[in-house]
Amino acid sequence: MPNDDAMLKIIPQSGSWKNWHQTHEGPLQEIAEIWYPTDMPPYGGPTINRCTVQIQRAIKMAKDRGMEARAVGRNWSLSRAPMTGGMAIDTARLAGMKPLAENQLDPAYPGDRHEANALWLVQCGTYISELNRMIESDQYKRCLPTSGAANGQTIVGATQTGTHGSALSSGALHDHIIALHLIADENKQYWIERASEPVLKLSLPNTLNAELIRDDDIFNAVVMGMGAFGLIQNVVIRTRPRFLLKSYTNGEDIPKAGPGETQQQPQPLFLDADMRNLIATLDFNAHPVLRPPPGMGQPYFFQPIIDPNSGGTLPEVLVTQMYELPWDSGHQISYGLDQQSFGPGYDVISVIGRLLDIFQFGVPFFAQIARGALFDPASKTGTWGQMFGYKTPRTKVASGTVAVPLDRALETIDLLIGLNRQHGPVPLVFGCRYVKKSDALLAFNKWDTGFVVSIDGVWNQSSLDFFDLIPDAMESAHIPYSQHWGKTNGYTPSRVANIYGNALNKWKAARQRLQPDRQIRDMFTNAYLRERGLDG
Amino acid sequence: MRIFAKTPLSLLIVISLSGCSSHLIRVSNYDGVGDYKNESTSIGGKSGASTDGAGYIAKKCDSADGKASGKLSEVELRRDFDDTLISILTLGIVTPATIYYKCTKPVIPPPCNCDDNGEQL
Repeated sequence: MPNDDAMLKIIPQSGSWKNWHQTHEGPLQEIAEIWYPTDMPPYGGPTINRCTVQIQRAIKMAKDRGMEARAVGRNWSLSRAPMTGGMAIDTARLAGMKPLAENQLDPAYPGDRHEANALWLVQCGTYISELNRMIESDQYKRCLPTSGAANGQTIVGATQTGTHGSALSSGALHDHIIALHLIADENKQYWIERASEPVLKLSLPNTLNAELIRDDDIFNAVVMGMGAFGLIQNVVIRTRPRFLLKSYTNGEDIPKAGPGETQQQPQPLFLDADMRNLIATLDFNAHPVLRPPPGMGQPYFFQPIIDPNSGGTLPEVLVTQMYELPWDSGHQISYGLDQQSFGPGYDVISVIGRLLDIFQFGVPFFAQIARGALFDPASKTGTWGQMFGYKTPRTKVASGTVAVPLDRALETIDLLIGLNRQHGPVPLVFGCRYVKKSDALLAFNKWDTGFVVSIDGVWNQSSLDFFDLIPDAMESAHIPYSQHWGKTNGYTPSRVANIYGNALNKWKAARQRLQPDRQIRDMFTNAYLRERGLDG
Repeated sequence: MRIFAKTPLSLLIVISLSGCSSHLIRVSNYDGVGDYKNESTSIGGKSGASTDGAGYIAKKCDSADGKASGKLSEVELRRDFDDTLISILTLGIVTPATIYYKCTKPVIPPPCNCDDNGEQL
């Protein structure tokens, strides 16, 4: 066996450190790269143990030097959640994954234990793109039930900050994690499951020498722990049988069953009474254009995007519907980027943003350009991984979120449009998404059906000012709300306490149980967590 | 051309039109690592000479023991406003740019049919 010390590579840093989207930067002392064993053994208990040793070496180094430490995958978040001024423990090369076999499952596992390849053990640094490619293959024929709009995040990075999609029958990605392996400090590791949903027999936790904890509150704290609990090296995620999605934009090409009706032509849609009713009720049959194709129920995925700076009296709405189709054995899966030889440069959004801070009258025009750059309206058919695939990297994309219960959806939209009218125009659009309730204690998807407005566009001062206005406006309007931890948010200690109440107390209690040493808790607490009252 | 060359406005126009360019090459499934570092190197291309930026960067993709990667998944050359201004002021003798790159991830073995101790079933 080679010398495993080479699996840990410490890289001193001198310059500033940026997130993937380059919206945040700050100083960093060291990067600790953790490499998969270079003799490339199969992923499993012994390999995990070799990685654990190196992760715990890095944690000890940070502790001995009095440095803050934080696991980093791809640094994808649009908030400062992944940033640290101390040691970033880079886990992106730890990308093992394997399906769990029926004989590995606890007899009390409440799911279908006979469903082949349903549960996957996945290592922390696995990108969503890698996971899609593996599980959607002809060998395994599975897929994720949901994910974010892009596929660049690591599995743990995405789930620790609340990445979600808009699958109408699904929660967020973290709601499909059912067991996890936590490295809490340099000599303590846990295998954590819900008491109400035991997953594995003891053999894997025993092989890992990890303490088994079956406790709903503990699991529900760590599964969305924002890196505060240490490093999650492995998770078990539940997948579903693969299927195809057929997307329609603005109802274009949706087949109609009525006499004399044929496929619809593309047409602009607006935030009129029909659209408002659809957004608030999800009654697709009541909409004259967006009715489901014959024989189909509601779409699997639904996303109306409201452009508050377009249209006349009513804002324009760009609607994406995706319907579930059975698997077609002739379907060829291709995940590559479409070849494009000429297009917007890396910095076009940033340049537009700076210009619009000066020439605000240009917002409606340039917001159209930004909308075109950010959203793909083309109708297509593909697997989940194809539909939510690679995105061209862009700098300085502004993105924030406000989530409310579905029955407050229209009030929220009206409030945001009013803010834009009063303080804008701002170069942002409002993407409406739907997410089912999570059991995770600090999940922002905390309502039976959550209505989530993803506010995306050009990163400039007017957009940031707009994000700042949202929490106060929601509170003045007495609309219960939450915000995405991985995007620009206005969380303060008092807001977090008000929004999460006793769930916050349980989250902190879980931290104190798993990390009884205050020094360790402080080591895994960055400025982002302190500013939101998640320290201590 | 002489008229344009004499006016500051024309200089500004030339810089604006030729600045902020990027040239990107990448593999189709660009699952690169090290993205957050965004390491870059400024190159000063001179007439009749070249800088070996590619070789410099490729070495940075090696693992500690040189086994795991060594391959690039994406390379992007960017020239911003300042770079273009320097090029014009030096009559093209110095053409600075910044190279951004990402390395491929190590190829992890496919899932094995093993037990929890790693033994083949």
